Amino acid sequence: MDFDGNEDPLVRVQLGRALVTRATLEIANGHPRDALDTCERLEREFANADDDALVWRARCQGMRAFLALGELDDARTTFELAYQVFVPTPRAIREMVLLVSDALAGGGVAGQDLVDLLATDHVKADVLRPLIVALCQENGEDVRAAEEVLDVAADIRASWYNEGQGQ
Amino acid sequence: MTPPMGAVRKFNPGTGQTDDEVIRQFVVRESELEILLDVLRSNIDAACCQSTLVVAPRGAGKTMLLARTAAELRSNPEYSQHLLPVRFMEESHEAYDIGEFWLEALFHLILEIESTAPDLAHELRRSRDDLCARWRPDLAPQAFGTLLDAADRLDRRLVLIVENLQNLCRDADDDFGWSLRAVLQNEPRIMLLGSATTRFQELRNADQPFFELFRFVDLKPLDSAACLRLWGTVSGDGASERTIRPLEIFTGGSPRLLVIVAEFALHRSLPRLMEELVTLIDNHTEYFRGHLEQLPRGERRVYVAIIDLWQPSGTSEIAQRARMDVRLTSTCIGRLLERGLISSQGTGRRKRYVATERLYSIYYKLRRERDEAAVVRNFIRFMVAFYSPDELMEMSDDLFHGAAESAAIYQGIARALPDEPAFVDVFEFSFLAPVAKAVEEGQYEHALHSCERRLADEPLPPAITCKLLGIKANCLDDAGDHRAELAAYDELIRRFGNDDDPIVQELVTDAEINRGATLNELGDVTAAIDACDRMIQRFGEPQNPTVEAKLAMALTNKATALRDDEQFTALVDTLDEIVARFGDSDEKELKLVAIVSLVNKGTALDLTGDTADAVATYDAIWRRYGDCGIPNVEVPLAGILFNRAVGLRQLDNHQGAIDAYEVLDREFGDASNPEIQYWVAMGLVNLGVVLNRDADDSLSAIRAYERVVDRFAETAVPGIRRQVAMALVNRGIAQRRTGDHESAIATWDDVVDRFSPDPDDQTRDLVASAMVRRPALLHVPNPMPNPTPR
Repeated sequence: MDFDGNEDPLVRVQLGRALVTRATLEIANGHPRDALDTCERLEREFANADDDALVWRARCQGMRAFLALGELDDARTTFELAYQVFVPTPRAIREMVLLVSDALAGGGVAGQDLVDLLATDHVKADVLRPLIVALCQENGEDVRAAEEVLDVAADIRASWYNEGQGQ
Repeated sequence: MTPPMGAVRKFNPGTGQTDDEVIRQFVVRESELEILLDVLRSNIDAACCQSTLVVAPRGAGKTMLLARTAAELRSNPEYSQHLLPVRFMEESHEAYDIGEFWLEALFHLILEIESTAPDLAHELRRSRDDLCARWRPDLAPQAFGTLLDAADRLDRRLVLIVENLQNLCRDADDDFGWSLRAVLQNEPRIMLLGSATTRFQELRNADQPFFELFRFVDLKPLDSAACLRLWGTVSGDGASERTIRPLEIFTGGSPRLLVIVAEFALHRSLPRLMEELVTLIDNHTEYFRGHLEQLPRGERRVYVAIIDLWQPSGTSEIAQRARMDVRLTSTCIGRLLERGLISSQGTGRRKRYVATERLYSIYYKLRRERDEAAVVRNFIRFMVAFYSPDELMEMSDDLFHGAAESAAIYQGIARALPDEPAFVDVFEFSFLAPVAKAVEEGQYEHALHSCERRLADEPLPPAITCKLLGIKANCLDDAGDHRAELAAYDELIRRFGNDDDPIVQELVTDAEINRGATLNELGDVTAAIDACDRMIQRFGEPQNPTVEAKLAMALTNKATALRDDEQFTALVDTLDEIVARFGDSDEKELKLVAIVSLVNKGTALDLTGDTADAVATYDAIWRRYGDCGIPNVEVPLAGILFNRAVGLRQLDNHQGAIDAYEVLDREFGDASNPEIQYWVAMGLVNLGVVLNRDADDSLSAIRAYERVVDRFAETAVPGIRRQVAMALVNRGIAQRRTGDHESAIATWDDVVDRFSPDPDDQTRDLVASAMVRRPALLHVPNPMPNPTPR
């Protein structure tokens, strides 16, 4: 059954999610250009979908695709765009930890650039405080923060090293 | 999932418990137990016994470890044939010199052997009673001799288990430490197994009696694996290392705090538990607050500054936060370190201090103003996301989406996964999210529709139904349909009033409080007051800090009903009650309720013609709360300064009124909050009126009006725009009064120029007034009455 032309909002959401999965697989299988096309389509057709997170997830995959292509400036810009639509739901926070890990991997995006980007939105940055502390420590800074926050930051950094570099 | 065992003790473990219970509940600190037992084993035939001191902060498990050791000494023949534990009470030592210490030891020895050697116990009791009856300090050797004789007759060495040794040393006389040291070094029949919260002075200094006497066993915070074991013992819930980690972080690996959280966590998933951390902290307010209140004032200030700073902080930062002298702060820090309440990191000038028990900072911040609490809430939110099990995050979006849309799917998930509350909670969140989002965005009609659709579907769990009914009632309130709103509250109370779930009970209580306000909206004042009175009675006595907010809400609702019914005498009584209860509250929100009540009391007195009392009330508020520093209190404070000035003018105290308006401008003239700006602008306009009309000082009046125009001319706030227009019209009147007709006409022209291109309801009449006055001035030189704001 072809859902492509279906206008039912529930079906559209499913289609959008399928496209996100497709972009993920395209990157994993060495076709980042195709992934970028998929992400562009998501941006174009799903900006007003019922699922607010589709554009966010599309931009996350977009950043990863640019990283895979070695186009680091575009990766950085796409990270910035993704952050603009980031809504701190549990799932998105978890995704952000992975996204930062991927952005850092192999020197893709400089840690300080990521800190600066995350700090541009105070409200979101407040929620992401442990992640920002982890990033600052990764940059070699001696960060002062509550011990609880430092503990979580340590766990975030451990997850980056122990669990591989995200997706 | 394994069923939880009997309640694990948070306080006084071992007391009133059998050895079996203690052994069963002891699931962490095994390696430290081994160390203690090794030392005791080597003491069995040693010529000189090694005494041991367990050192750790409050709640780290010292008492449990000692109780477990005593249980081992009693139940394991390897020890019980040679050693006998004599366990002193944890908190109250009744020994102030060495003789009384031996009497205490005799007392606890008698308790220890009462069931196993009743004859000897009886004999010892008689000897002790005899010693007590004729007690003098020089009988100390006799008491000690009786103890040694008992050890000989029992053919066992005595292990004196003494907790909080630092308190005993603090309270006893100067000879105590040296006398005890002599015995512990020379008498093999006596050994000491103690505990202390810190390595106190008598242990550290070479010229002190306990220097290098003890072997120390430090209790470190529990690691994840130990937390997991303790968690499983208390809650019976399985958990992974990943889900225990946030709890380990929050409690700092403190067994006592972990037991408190684990008991609370029964049947709650990690996300739910973290969401309800505030409730947990509320439930244990006495534990936290009691601890704070025991401290002397200076130390309390420094301690509060440290927990408020949250991150490890240096002395000067702490002094600044505590608003205290650095030297005094440093002294207090030293005392807090001695007490074991804070710990230090780093050395020298880089030394920093933090609270030893981590939850105190969280407790303090959650109970402070909103921004402070938001920091903690955001942190919790992050932790929930980061530490929730992977499966939770990987759940199909389809199911989440479906759960958000359909009660049937939600129910199905709840039924299918009864042992996985983590999943069910997330779906609950998802199920309610669209409704919550609509309310947040002010789309009450949409929210109402969503609520009704969900309520009409399959039966839901009680807590969810209550939440939906509560939201439905709020939406109906917004729509002005108070009859339907009341029906929603009544349904909630009728269906769930007898439910045992604490979450449901909380929602029922909220509904009962809101019901009073709704009855008032419907005009049934008597029923409204009755409803409020029932809640006040329920929460009012005895004073219970955990329900203070509810009591405040019920009293405020009652006051509103009395005000609407113009029962001013009863209203003033109710407002006085609010002030009496919450006027000195540590909770800023409750204090704010008291301040607003005082403002309302002033207004009520004014309305009943008792302006002098009203002014006195405003004076009292300003004196008491003028510099209380609560951000949200500035609006009512600006209001009372304005009302006070108006009242003084009504009492014909014109100079007092002028001074009061100037105070208002001086205190709040720089405020950026439009509500405060409104009071200031209106105050300056009134100041001009008093100067022009009552003080016959038109030039000063003109300057007052010009302050309004200079400061607020660009405002877009309608109420303040009106004050600008009024200041201009009045300036023209004052100018006319000075005979400067040309300027007066120019000013009124200015009113027309400024406000007639874009007239609104607030300024239209003033533009008309200016238009009318201009030609009138050309022909009629007599002054016209001033328009005044009040």
